Amino acid sequence: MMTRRFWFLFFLVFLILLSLPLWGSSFYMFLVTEIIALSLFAMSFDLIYGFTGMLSLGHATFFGTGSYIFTLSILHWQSNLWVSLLLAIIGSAIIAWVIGFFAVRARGTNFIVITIIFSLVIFYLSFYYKSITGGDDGLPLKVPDLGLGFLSISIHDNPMANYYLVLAIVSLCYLFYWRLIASPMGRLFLAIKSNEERTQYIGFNTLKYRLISFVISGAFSGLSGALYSMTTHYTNNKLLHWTTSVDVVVWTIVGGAGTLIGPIMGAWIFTFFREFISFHFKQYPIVIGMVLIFFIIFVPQGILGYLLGLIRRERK
Amino acid sequence: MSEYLLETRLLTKRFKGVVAVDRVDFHLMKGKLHAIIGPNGAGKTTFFNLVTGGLSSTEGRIFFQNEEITHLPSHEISKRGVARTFQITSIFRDLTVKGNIWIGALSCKRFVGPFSEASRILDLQSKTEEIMGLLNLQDKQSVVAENLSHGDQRLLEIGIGLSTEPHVLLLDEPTAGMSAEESTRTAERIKKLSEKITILIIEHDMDVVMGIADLITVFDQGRVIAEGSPTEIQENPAVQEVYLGT
Amino acid sequence: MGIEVHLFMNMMNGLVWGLIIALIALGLVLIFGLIKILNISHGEFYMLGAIFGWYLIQYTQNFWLALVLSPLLVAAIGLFIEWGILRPTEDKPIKTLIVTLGISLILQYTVYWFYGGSPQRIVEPFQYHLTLFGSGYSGYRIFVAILSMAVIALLGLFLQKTRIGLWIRAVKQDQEMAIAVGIPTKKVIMITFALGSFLAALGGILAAPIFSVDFLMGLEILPTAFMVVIIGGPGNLMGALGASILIAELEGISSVFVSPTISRVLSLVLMSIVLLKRPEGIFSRARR
Repeated sequence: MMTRRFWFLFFLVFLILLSLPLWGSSFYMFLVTEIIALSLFAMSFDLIYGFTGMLSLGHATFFGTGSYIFTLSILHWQSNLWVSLLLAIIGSAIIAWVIGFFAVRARGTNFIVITIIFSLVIFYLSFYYKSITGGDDGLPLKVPDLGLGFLSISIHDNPMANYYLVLAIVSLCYLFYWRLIASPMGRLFLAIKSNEERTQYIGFNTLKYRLISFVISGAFSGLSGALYSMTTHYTNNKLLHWTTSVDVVVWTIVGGAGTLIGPIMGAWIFTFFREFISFHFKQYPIVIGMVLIFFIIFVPQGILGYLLGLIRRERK
Repeated sequence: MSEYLLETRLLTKRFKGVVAVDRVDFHLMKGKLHAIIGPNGAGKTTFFNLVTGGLSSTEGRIFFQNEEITHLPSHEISKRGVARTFQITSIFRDLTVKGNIWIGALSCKRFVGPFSEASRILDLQSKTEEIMGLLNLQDKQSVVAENLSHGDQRLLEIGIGLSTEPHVLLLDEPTAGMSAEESTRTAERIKKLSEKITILIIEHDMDVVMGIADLITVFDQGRVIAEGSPTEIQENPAVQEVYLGT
Repeated sequence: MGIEVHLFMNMMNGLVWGLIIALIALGLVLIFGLIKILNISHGEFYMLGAIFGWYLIQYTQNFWLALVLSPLLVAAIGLFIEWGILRPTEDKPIKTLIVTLGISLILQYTVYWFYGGSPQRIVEPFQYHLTLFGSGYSGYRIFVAILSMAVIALLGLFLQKTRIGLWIRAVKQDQEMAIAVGIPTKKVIMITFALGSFLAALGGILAAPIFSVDFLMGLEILPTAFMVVIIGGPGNLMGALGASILIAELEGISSVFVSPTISRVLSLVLMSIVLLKRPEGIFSRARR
């Protein structure tokens, strides 16, 4: 019953998304493309925080790295779109592996501090090598055409094609995550979050699995950054900045950590909010701070977690 | 080749000058229910932590099935067939009873896949059912572990240990915090389990130990001061002095 | 200017900066030691110290008045934040950390609202220059160093000699025991939080004439303050003092030879190594 209702809703949302270019204005289409790309970032963060129980306050590093690798490979090597996206995934996975190698050895507060510090190192480096990264002015980008065998589709000047491409990739990633959390490995992540010591004592090398979780999350955050740049046609080091890391934490906590969909909802709510309020009220982070504190204290399970709790209680 | 399942040689652990475990030579025979007793601070739990890889020994060696396991990390030791429970219950509090045991059973698999659907792996399902049946936990299988009674939580922890298919089960005060009635029931259950598996148990409750153990080792101030059958231990003057006398 | 003079100047600046960092970090470490919470909003108290200082100087034209009043105002705000916002989550360190993240956003952008986004300057309260190694050195910076040392010494005395200091040390050792012997633990935590805010704000107004004042300065100081906590050892006050000066000197001296960004990266790398190899800090006597 419950699952049927869920699938119905899911299908409805997907239909709305599929048909959006037919009825939405170009402004909305652009905004929604951006948000779909960010949704992947939100899911990826949820994998390590909501499922494996590691709070990273430096996740912008992977988002930004993916965006830069994508942009730079196109600028310098004129690489094809698929190759650039692949490079973004691989590159961010490598960075995530290096940072994760150190980070997963620390727990609790120390883990958080390590992630903050590494993200700052990378951010400082992006300032230092301004000639490569463009610093806070950023780099403009001409997105290459999408090659599909005999067919070649322009992405750069065709928002609709761009929209469907982003939607298709992010949907595939969602399916991947959805399978992952229902798999033995996903169950193991939850066990590590629940009680890491116990998980070690029944024979799992938890460092290894925490690192796997971190690298998967980092790789897909990187892909998310690449898709974001593909849509906005530019990259700058703000994507690497601390505030980007804070954004994804807020989406996840307010939307509902450990639900995959919740953080996506968070991304939608806050990106729309920012889009419409930032013009009139530049101090909108005040509101974000207040919402964050409200949720942590009164609704720690987040919006979706709260709703699921209501449904569960109703059924009993 | 020795016939011992678990053996320690001159095992020693020092913390900043305090000797918690002092040159312990310990032997565990296969198929026995072996108990470790001793006053508070005798080094029993430290001994467990050394054997299961939670702590690294300062000196001495540990063998399991004639293979050296000294300084191995806890997950490696568990893989070789040593399961343990803790004095303070350590379970997956926000997973269901079934989920708890399922994770334990998963540890026997060589590969933890990211794609196959967990609920469709049949041998893990039947293994989980089997263990729940053994401990009479089927009725509570979808209860979230933190909502269980204290006694059931302790039982569940034993279940997690059993689901890893160990050769030996190390129980650290399994009756801690239980009523007299619950303790008796748990003791019976452990005795029954010992028909199938070697058990090493730390216990405070003397009645429990004397009733069920095949062999008892007495620790005091990090050392082994006596070893023997329950009756031998009861009559041993050194034991009476440090333990029963107080 | 020869390289020796340049080096000497950077070492002097490193010392002054190190002592300012120490003021900030000591507050952070005091709070961490007490409630095991890494306060992400701590940098904002440093920022508020400078901002209030700027406003007070605008209205009164008196630096010395601002130097006294601004930290007191910030201490009051810290007191209120601990009592009103942090207390409900204090048993859950990760939750509290996220709450302080929210506080950080609120404070930053409230200041941005009133103060604006552009940096402002506070002039040095006196224009006296000493001659050191044939080159002029700001008398104000010397004053900052001396005052900071005096405040740190006073803090030490306060913790060692007063009753509240004794309580703070007792709560730090064992909170449950402290409650058992009748120490008003909640009040002690509140006072410590206010004291930490006071020290950060003092650092802020002292640093203001050397750098400039803007609403993001708290965010800039945060990584440095965190590094101090890690290198010095969590909850270790003497370690924090040593680590502050170590980091400031490391960055000061290395910036003579390499770019400041690279010298910052160096200290971050140092810290990562400490985190992995000696999580209890390099100044701790305890060996694992």
